[in-house]
Amino acid sequence: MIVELVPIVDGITFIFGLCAIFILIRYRNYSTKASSRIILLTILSLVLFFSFSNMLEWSDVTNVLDQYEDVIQVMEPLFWGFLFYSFIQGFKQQELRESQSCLIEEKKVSELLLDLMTHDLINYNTVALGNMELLLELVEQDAELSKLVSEGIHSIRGSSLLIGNVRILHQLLEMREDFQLEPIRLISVIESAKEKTQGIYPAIPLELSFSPTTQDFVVAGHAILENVFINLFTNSVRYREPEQDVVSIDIEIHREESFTCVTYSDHGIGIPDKLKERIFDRFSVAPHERKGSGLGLSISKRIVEALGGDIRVTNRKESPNDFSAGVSFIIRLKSVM
Amino acid sequence: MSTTSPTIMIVEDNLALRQLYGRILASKGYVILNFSENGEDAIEFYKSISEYPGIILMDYRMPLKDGLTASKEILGINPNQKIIIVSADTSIQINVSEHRNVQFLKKPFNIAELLNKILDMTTLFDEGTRSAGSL
Repeated sequence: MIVELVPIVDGITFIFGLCAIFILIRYRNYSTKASSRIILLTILSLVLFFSFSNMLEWSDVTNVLDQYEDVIQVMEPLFWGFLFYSFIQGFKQQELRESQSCLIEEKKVSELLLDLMTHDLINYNTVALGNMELLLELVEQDAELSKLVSEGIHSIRGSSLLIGNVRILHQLLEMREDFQLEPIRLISVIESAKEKTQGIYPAIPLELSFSPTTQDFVVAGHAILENVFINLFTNSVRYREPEQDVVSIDIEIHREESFTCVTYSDHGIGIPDKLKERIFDRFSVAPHERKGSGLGLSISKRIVEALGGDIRVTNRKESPNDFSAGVSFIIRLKSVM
Repeated sequence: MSTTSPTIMIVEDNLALRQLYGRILASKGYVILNFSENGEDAIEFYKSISEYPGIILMDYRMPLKDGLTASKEILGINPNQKIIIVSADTSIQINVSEHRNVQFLKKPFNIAELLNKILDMTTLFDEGTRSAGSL
């Protein structure tokens, strides 16, 4: 009696095993990690294998299958191997889909944050800036109050500049695969950047001295090139000597094979030699070593490199061993002949 | 402020910004013809008037209809309409530069920048709009 029940029990175990595998695959999203699922699948496969083998052994089917024993012996491991491989591939595909889905969600979150920063925060800044400027007009007779309001205005402008840089960084990351270059008139870009920087620091006049004075240069660029010069001008204003009421900048441009080379020199406090190596790496410059967020130069480097050029910093030519004599940035951009 | 200051229409979804525009422009003697909260409202208002505003200050990012689309529709009604698109998104500058009567002002702006832009628009393209209102 018991002997007759054995194949039935094996058969039931086999069916339960199949059901368990089906449930495992059907509801794979609700189970734990892929490694746990693979272990569970292995155990279930073994249960299936042994129950199926036992069922065959205890039933008459074995006798029928005896003549195919050699073929079955070869096919059986192949069958289980194939089955197991398919399951693992299925899980891998599932993991991949889950990762992609996570990435898409993360991208949406980052775009939302960027949108909040570049749209909503900028709107708040615009309102704050406008009202502070109106307030400044009202309190201009009071030097102390004017100073406080001016500092507030300065902070709002700094915050807006930072937000602008974050937007550019995002643009650069988005465009890195299809960066469309177009001919850009270099002097116009520099002049426009000067005007925009002047808007941020209206009280500090910027004086540019070009060499040569008459020739314009056309480079392979993009509208965001302007931000490189806005960042450089902003730095020249921030790191000017305390007694400097006017920030004067010398810009020398010449062709260098297929590149146009711009040497941008100011007369500010300069950059200590120990910082020069890492000035373009935001995370290598400690907050106490800089006045801004440190993002500007890092983004400028990214922009110039995305345009196929390079940027480096050096001491001014006339005083190469004295970093306190201002700083020179050398920017190379691809020429358009 | 001269007696020929253009009337201004403001299209901006942010209440605080609408109030700021009003405050700045009123303090300089400009007359605000209308405040619209989005592109659709702006077009609806524009179609309903016979005296067009001298200048429209148009936000770019707005619900229902963005500033660029609304500007195109307004220019379809009156190609001489002067519009200043105001946005933090400089990538739309290329689209703005396609039309000579449309200019771009980057947010955040100084009061001086806003007033200069309005003055530029007034003086640079002085030849007649169909019936641009003036004080």
